Amino acid sequence: MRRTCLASLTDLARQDPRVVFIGSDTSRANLGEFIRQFPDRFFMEGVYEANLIGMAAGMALSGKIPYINTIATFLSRRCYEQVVIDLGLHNLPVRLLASGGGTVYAPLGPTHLATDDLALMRAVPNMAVVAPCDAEEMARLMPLTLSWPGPMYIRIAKGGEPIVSRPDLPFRIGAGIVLEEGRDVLLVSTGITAQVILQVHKDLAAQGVSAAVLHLPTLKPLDRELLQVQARGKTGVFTVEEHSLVGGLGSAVAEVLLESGWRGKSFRRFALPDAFAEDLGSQGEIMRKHGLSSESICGAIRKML
Amino acid sequence: MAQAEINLSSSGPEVGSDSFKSASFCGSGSPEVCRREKRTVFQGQDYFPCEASFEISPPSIGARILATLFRLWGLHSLNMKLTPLDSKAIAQRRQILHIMEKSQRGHFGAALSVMEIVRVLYDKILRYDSRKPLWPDRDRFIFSKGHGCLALYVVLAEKGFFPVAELDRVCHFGAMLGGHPESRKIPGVEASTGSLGHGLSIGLGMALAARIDHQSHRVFVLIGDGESNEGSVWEAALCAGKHHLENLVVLLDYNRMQSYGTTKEVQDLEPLADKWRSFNFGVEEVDGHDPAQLESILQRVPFAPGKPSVLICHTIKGRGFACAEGNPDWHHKAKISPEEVERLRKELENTR
Repeated sequence: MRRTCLASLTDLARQDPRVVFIGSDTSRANLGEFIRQFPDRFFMEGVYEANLIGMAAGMALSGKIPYINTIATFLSRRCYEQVVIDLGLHNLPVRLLASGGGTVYAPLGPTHLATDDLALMRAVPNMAVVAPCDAEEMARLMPLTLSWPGPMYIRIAKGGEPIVSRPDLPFRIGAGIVLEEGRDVLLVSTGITAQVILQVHKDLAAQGVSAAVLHLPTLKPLDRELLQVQARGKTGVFTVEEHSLVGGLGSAVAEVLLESGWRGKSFRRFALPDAFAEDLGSQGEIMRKHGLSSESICGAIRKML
Repeated sequence: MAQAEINLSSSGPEVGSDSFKSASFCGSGSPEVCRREKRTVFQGQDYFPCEASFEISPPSIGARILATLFRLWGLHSLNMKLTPLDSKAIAQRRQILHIMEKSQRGHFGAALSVMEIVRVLYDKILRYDSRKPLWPDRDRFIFSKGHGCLALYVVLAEKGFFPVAELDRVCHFGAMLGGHPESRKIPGVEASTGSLGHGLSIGLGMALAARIDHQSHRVFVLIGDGESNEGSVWEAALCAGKHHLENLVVLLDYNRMQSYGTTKEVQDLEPLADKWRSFNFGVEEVDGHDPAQLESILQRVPFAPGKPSVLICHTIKGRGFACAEGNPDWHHKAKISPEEVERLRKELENTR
């Protein structure tokens, strides 16, 4: 997914002279073509994220569309005030390409886990927050970033995720995607948990429960209408995210459902706890420990129905 | 005590000695008469005429001592003499006081220390068109120490970016001008500032964009000494040095006071010029209240080939009002009584 994201920048730069790349001491992998073709628009800078956000803002104020890439936690937490003021307040078309959102850097410990990034970015006025589920969805997203008017946070997953997005379903920033229709319950995902809820959908179907699958690659602006339409008449709504319980997908969905008068029986957020990670290991191990595997989600939903 | 001549020059070379003028100012003591020559002619006429002599009413002895000590210390490093305020400087300060009176609040001290810097930029240095604030070839000016914005408002209004009447309702509900400048509301303001340490990075990005597009406009960023505590200022400095941005000019308002007290006690910046030199900047220093010097030195940017420039402007926080000069109580002021305004008005008319 990261490869798709970064490699697509060369095409975007060719199409649009406003495109500028800024890296914060990141790898040159996937950027060779960009460096060769557009050396004057390639900036590999030091490890000073606050400065880079301001610098990108200055470029955007001069008509550029900067794409900044570094590790998600440093692109969200480290320079938060610059993101809020320089990008949010000025409403500038800067793209934050956040590598390793969620628990991707599990073996590196809690300093590198971006499990609060969606909450932080949702709180920034004017910020769009997008988390594609796989490389193909990332490929659909990237060309659309050229014309989005404000700042955008793009959560990049580990890479190598199974392709679960569908080319036949139109992708639009700000629009949800119904991956499966269903009668009884609604499953909602953002980012890579689309693959998890698709499996849950299958497991539930085997047990006679019909679950709709709503994938929300754009967490902000949220597709409130589609969410309300899909939730209507369902007895349960369940959100699954690779993020803390605080302020992410589950919170966003709960806000909409409560305000829209949804009256189902069960609602539950499947998410990481509001705590710093204690474990190392792998992304999969951490997700499983916190009940984010399809088996445990399926079991928990069965108990609630 | 009669008019007191003060001469700070000691051994050692004077910085820009050819352009430093001898000056005099009123010492502490009982009421006295000071004479000030009308020396600045602005665009062929005395733009803001004022009286040439005034009665001084004495401020508190403590404030006078503090201000005097501060002046001596602030100018010491430059072997500099205090530049008297000219008629335009006095008139612009009247405007700042007017805003304070109407809005009942404001960062008074900072606006007064940057007044001449902003004035010279818009009178003599920047290329701009106030009827077309977004003219692509304009020089960019980022007012990074946003709290000093009253000085900026006075100059932008004078230059016609917006009606002067806006100065009557600064900080009011629904007003365009607030306690910090906002670019989305105010014509001529390039970036919204107020949180310190943002402007230099933004200016750096603008300078890089100009380079990409082969444009010849320049970027000026005004920062403060308190602001220079922010790590992001030095991140940006490091980055600007790396990129050899000749089209980037930092104006550093070195009034040696921050909110709590002196920079010496809160966070000493010395050796300040050496710091910037080591970050690969061309460095010059100037009396930040002397319009002629500011102009002549700013005409020479970049100060060093292949390097961004920094102009360290030695200034006096609260300059023009004896009670406020070097007095942290006047960093930010709210609720100013009519009597206080009257006293300030007198102090201004008596200042030099």
